[in-house]
Amino acid sequence: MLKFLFLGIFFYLLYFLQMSFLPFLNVFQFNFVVLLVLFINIFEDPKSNTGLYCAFFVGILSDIFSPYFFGLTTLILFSTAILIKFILWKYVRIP
Amino acid sequence: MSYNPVKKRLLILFLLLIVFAVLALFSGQIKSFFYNKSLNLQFMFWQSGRAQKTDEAVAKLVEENQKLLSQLTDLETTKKENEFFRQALGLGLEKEFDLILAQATAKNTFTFKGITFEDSILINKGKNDGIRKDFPVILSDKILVGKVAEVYDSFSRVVLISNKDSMIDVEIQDTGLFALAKGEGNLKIVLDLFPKDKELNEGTLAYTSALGGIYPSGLVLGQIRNIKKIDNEAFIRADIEPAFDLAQLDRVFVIKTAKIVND
Repeated sequence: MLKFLFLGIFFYLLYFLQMSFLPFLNVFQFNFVVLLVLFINIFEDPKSNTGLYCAFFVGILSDIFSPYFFGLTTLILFSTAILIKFILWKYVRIP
Repeated sequence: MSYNPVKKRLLILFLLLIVFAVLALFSGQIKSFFYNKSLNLQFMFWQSGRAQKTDEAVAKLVEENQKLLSQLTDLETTKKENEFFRQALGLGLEKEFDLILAQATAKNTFTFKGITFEDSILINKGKNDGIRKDFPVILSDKILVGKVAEVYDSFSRVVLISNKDSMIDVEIQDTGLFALAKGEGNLKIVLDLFPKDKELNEGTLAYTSALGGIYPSGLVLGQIRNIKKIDNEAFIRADIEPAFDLAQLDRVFVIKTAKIVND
């Protein structure tokens, strides 16, 4: 529960940093937060659910601040996270 | 009762769908709530970002300043003439339009793996301040930024003129000819439907015309660049370099009621 709360606050702050601060830096012309979520999902333990929570929080925040249908970004990010986890669990073996 | 994991997952999925359907129904209120709660935080990040950008810009500006000093003498003369004509003709911006001053607080423009996402900014004025959908947004010197696309209680989303869905009827300076400015996303605008047999020069300004019905005439879009004359195409294509700098965008005016006078 504490982890859930911490992730929520962390991504809330990070999302505003992405929207209101990072666009001024020329090196961050891509969605840094989404990329971070993908990295977490790729590099964490496939059995851990942290990446899925991250995808959910970032998806919700994107939906709140995007003009598109509510739930669209959450669905896309969450599905991508599940897909990454499935591929890593099923087909990738690290010796 | 036996434990069935498939049933449990389906139940969670079903509940999530219901939650999102409810969220979609009240999306306006939810967005307003979150925006109001995070306004100060967004504003703080935005100001910090601008300050950082300003430091980088200062070094560049010092260099440019030396070049500009040589042009100052000519401009001073032009400025006096301009002020004279403005007074004489009563072209003050506040007289021409009903304006609402707003502050940009966030922007959404980024490219990821070749896919360009929408060009838009958020401003801190909304329905409560009299802002409505399709109101044009400009800078103080009649430079067009975009139009209001979504309005909430205390904030609005402004799509920039470079947004992919943006199409604006423009008039080309000194030619009296009309063309179409299409947004391409990622702060790019192209000029289309300009007759091939007519002369088009680099650096010429593109203004809005009143033909489109949304924007008042005479607002500056930008300068013509990269003119391309392709043999099997009937029209000239060119880029329009936006007159505004998104990195320096801070305060904007929303035109509440455009009093367009067609002579």
